[in-house]
Amino acid sequence: MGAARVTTGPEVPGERLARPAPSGERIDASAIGAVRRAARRRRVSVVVVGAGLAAAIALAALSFGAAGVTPDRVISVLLGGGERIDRFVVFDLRLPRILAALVVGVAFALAGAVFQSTLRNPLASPDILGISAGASLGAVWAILGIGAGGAIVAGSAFGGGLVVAIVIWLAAWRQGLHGVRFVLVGVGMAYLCGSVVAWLLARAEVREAQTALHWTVGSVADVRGDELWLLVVGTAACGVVLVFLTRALRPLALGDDHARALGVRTDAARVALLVVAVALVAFATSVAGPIAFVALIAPAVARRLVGRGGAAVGAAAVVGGVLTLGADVAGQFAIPGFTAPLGVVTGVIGAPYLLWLLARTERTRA
Amino acid sequence: MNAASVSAEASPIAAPATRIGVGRRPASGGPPPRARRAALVLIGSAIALLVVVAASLALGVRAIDAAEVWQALVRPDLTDPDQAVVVQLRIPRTVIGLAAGVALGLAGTLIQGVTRNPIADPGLLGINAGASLAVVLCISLLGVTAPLGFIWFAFAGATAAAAVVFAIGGAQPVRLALVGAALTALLTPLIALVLLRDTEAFNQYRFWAVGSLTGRDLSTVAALWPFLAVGVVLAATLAHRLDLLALGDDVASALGQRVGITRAVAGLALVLLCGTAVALAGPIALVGLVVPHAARRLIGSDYRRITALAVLLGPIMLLSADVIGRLVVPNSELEAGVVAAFLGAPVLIAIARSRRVAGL
Amino acid sequence: MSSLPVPPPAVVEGLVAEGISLGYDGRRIIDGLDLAIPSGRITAIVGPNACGKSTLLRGLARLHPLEAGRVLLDGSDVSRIPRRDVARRIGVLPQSSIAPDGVRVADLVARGRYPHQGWFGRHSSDDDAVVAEALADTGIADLAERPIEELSGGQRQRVWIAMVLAQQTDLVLLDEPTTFLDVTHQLELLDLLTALNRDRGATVVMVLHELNLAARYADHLVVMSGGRIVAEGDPGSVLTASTVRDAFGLDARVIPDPVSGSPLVVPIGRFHSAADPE
Repeated sequence: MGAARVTTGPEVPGERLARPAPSGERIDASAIGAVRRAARRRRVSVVVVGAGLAAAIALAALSFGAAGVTPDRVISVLLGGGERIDRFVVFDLRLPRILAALVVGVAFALAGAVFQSTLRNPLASPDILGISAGASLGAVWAILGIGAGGAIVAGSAFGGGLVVAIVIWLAAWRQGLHGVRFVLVGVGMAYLCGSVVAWLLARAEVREAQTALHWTVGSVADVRGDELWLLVVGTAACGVVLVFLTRALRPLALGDDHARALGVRTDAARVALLVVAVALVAFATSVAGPIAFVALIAPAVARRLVGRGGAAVGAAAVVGGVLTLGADVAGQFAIPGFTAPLGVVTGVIGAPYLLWLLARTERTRA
Repeated sequence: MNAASVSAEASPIAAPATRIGVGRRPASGGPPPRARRAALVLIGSAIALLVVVAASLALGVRAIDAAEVWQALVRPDLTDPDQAVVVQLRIPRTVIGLAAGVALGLAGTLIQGVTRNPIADPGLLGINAGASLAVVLCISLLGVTAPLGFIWFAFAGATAAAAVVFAIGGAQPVRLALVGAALTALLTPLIALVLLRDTEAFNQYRFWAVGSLTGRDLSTVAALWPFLAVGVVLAATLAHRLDLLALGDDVASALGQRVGITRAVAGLALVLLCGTAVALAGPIALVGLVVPHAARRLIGSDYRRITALAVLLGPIMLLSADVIGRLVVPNSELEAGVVAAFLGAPVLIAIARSRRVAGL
Repeated sequence: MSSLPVPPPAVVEGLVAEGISLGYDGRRIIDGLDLAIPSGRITAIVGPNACGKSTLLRGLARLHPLEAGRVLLDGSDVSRIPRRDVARRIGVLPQSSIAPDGVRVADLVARGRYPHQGWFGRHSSDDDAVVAEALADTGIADLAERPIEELSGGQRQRVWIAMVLAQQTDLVLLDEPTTFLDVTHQLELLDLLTALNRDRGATVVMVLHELNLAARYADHLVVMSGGRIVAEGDPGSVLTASTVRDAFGLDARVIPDPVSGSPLVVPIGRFHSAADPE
């Protein structure tokens, strides 16, 4: 040991740390706290503003429509009063659809945020990974192949999404679950299912094919009753599980080596996160169809609103809910006499916003 | 964005890959084994392509013997129904398959090289969606019904989409892919909206959307070959630059490459190639995605070799899909687009499972 | 923590590898290697490219699964200890790191607190104090609020090291920590690790490229070649001309470092010899 020990001369180690470092100063713990709190303020304000926006849109949506119910009457109905006809319009006609739109958006956005951060690929979303395409294939097959409707279509969609997820899983698993493998196989499955859907649509009678096409676009117009409860309970359950799991996303974002060194069981964490994400997509898709690209766009928007390299899972959920709710309302009322299904509007509203955000971040960075 | 571009790749696999095999090259004389292997793969693929072309001319729903096919090639007699089938149906679809296959294989290679994203392909960059919307509008608004009438619209739609993607996406790989996905997200529902309201247009469009080599004749190739040719030449000049790009923008510019110009030229080549492919055969999935991965797996990471092999593998895959589609269902045909997806998916899974998946 | 069925000899303190084998995709890089890391010392692992030194570190750090053998921490098999508990004892700086887009320095360093936090990952003011100290120790306190993309390569490397320091472990493993750093920053970093070792008694294990720095800063030098350890011990006795020739295939003279007295490897090369030493 001697040789190395002779090195340092009279200097005392403690003093060497305090040397005039080129860029280093002492820093107060409170300054670190301030950085942390600034990030949290940003997160919380995105969530609060989003939630307020959602509430305002919901209130407006409860008042709009063929049977006009003024906002004050809506509020009195929500508080337990109001006239019977108003109660019927609000609770039976409009609230289910609003709730469905909101929850579907939350479910897709949560799933997308988890997919993207777990797989470390900003393009990873159920649309691109083939899970939505699998659900579409299941539904289109049920509609065109066996002439089914209603719950059978929903069940078949659920099954289709799940089967694709399992196939991706089995194919991508090799000494652990690797992100690139998962994404690559998923993209392949998306194209495969998409091709079969296109082929089924081309083979079928044209009117039936159009019905099937309508399903693949996605809509919440007819979601109510048991389907709605399944959606709400399923999404809530997954959300609760995610609260415990998302913590692992912070170290996972630094790469597998860092995550392992920080004590994350990377494969187990990834598997658990992806299972929840797949479940969210399966619930939402079976009920409402593959609402296009909410899962891709909402997390990307949320990350840019929150900034600072977080996975922004909570913010994504809020952005997703606002996006789908706003889109559904816009689809019904934006152009008088013209309604568009939710899946059309989400893409038409969400995509330009994402494009604008991308264009803007480029400018500010440059 | 630098960080994100790393994240889109596979840093955890890349690390061991760089560790393995450094400084362990056998010091023997003669051509290095890799070069010999590459030559063998290229020759083998060329032979495979010839076989597939021959099969495409000889096989089909209508059984025609080889002598008759040969006759149709060298001295066609159109009054003979068999020879007429060869000349009027099989030769055109073979030529279209060759052209579209070359375009797709090269386009996929270029996109993956430029974006450094292993899942990039013409579908993901919004190019197919752009072409599809243009075709839908041309059916719905202008009442065009023949696939021949679609080609310029498909070409224009693909070009416009690619231009938008490159204009907003700029030079950054991840941003480029995100913009492409966002554009697809914008256009796909618009297409659906038109189709849900216009049953007649849907009826036309759905056959185009499957992706097929039939229903077109050689005039499509005659009209589009200059674009394809320019695209191929540009892609050929880009191949060795992609090798440098694969090392990262910084290394590439340090080695004297003007990264921006490379990307711009690649963008132009992509527009030409994707536009040609989608105009010829409709939106064919998976060929552009699988071919570069398969080529990389077979021949290593040198982009010049990958590009050369992609030129062969693209048409091999598309034409064999077309031939298989003629044979699997008795007295009927499956469109090449569906069969190509069924061919491509297992190949892609096999590649994804191989250990060198992260070779981008 | 010693839940093992009591190994017969006395429990060895610190980190010990017993007959470990590991590799990539069936290709063994290291086969049946034994190594005891001396506790409370600085150990440097050196060797030519592809000799398996990083692989060894990854095996010790539990970043890479072992095909055979085991790694013991204070006598108990590391693979049987919950990962989080290991992460509170062993900090690792791997070669490949990914910084999420837009992340601030303080936030990134704070992620080193992960193994110390509860289920919901809430930061406490204690965490803030640790992060502040790690930033100050690495000389990047004034960068705390900067996004990581704006930093130079050397600054980034120090951010990652600050993250490992924030993990507050008594064992720190680093895979080529001086890559990307200029000479000044290399020395600063190694001084920092020395201080960590002397002030806090931390055990430091690092893979280093630079032989002379390794010889100067290490108490214990491990020389590897072809997946095995060719020499190990006090740098003064280990680093001889013959060891360098065996491990690196390099002809060199070894003289005492005029500053530290540690061995200084002066490679000979094909040209530039002023006079034949004999």
